[in-house]
Amino acid sequence: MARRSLHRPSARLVALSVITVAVLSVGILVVGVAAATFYGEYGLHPEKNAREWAGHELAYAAPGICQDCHAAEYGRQATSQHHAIGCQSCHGPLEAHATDPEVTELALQAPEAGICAQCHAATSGRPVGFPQVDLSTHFRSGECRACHDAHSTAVVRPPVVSHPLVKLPACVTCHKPEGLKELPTGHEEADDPVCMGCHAAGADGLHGASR
Amino acid sequence: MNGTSPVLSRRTLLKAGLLTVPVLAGGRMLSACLSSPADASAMAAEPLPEPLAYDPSAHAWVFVCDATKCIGCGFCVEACKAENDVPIEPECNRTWVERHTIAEDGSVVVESPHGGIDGFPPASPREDGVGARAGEAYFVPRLCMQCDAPPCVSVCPVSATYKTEDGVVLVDASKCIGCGYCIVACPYGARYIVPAGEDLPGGYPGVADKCTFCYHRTTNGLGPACAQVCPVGARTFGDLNDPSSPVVELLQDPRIRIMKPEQGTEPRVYYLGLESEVS
Repeated sequence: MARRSLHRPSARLVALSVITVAVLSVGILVVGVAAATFYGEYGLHPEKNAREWAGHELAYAAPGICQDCHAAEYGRQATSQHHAIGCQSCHGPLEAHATDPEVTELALQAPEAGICAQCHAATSGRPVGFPQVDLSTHFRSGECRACHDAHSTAVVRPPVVSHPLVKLPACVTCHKPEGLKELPTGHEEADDPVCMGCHAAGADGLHGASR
Repeated sequence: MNGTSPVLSRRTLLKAGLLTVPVLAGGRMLSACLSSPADASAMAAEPLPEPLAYDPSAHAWVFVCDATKCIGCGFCVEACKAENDVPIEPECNRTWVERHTIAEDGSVVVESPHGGIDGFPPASPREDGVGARAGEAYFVPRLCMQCDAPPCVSVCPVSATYKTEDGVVLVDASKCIGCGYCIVACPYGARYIVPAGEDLPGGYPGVADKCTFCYHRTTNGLGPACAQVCPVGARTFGDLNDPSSPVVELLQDPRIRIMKPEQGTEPRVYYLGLESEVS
């Protein structure tokens, strides 16, 4: 009895240690296997989150998808100087419309006139050679589409009237006689009948009614 | 009885110990079996792409910005906000455009009104008037550099931000605690904290957010929205593993630069025509 009692504590300790190690090993193994099964389809944590990012909804439809339905407009656009620009650059995000043509609210909305100025207003920093206009002097500034068609190269130039240089009126001192306004900054109406017969301020504040 | 009692108790202990293993294992497996299908169906309800259709290890995404082409129209900033539900607040931008104006005295004025979303004023401001007219100016498209050695990932105390195999740095909003360490650590100012609002990543306000290279587009065969809408081709996105990708040729250009090479961040966003640096 005395001998057994001497050996018992160490034997118990060994048994406990073995059991603890066995339980922990098996437990860790099982949890590992369970976790792998749990996340198996999407990978472990970061990849699972990456999958969530990858599942975010589209706002902009795939480039080129517009021509499936809008072939005519697409073909016309392909001949313009804007041919390298995708539809949605100006028309906005249209995935909702592309997946469901019934959704027309966005698609029917023509871009505002100001959108031309976002690229073509003369701005410091724009590359040399990029077509820019000074909005403060450009003819009918803000009414771009009256003369320009973004979908083709056609430009309806403002009418140019050839003036006979018979009697040079005072206006020609500043305004060229070719018909284009050299200095469009407003001033009080002149009273020269040769010019003002046609160029009295009209309803649009720009020109006379008859040209 | 005094002699046998400890023996019995040891046997009981052993039995109990051995029983623990199958009980624990069974419980674990049962819970795994029970939770797995529920979780899988919850995931399936979301518009996730086919889980195995995209192999991140097969791609190496890079981005090339051409400052000699950028016109500062701001279409990219607008598109990014629409595509990624980025809050409209001017300080929240995954991408933005800067105008760098180099004055005659060599100093650089940098401006980015509202990230450039509405374009830029015709002339660069220069309060002291030095070299305002003779100054040279150009636009610089900005976005997260998707560094291969990202300081933001290093400093994140909860490992919420991580690097994917295809080269993108993402943020797990469910782990982010909004401490802002990453925002301080980023040398490029590419991160922001999402304010409370309607469009929150994962539904969490106050978490860090940043450009994902439009991960939902790139993993589905589309380019990032900013590159798609750019009217002048100033933003080119592509795969270094694809020899036909336009970025492969662009990176051969001797003018190619990276921002802040001294930071050792190994960016995946490259620049053409970058003449000045800015923080």
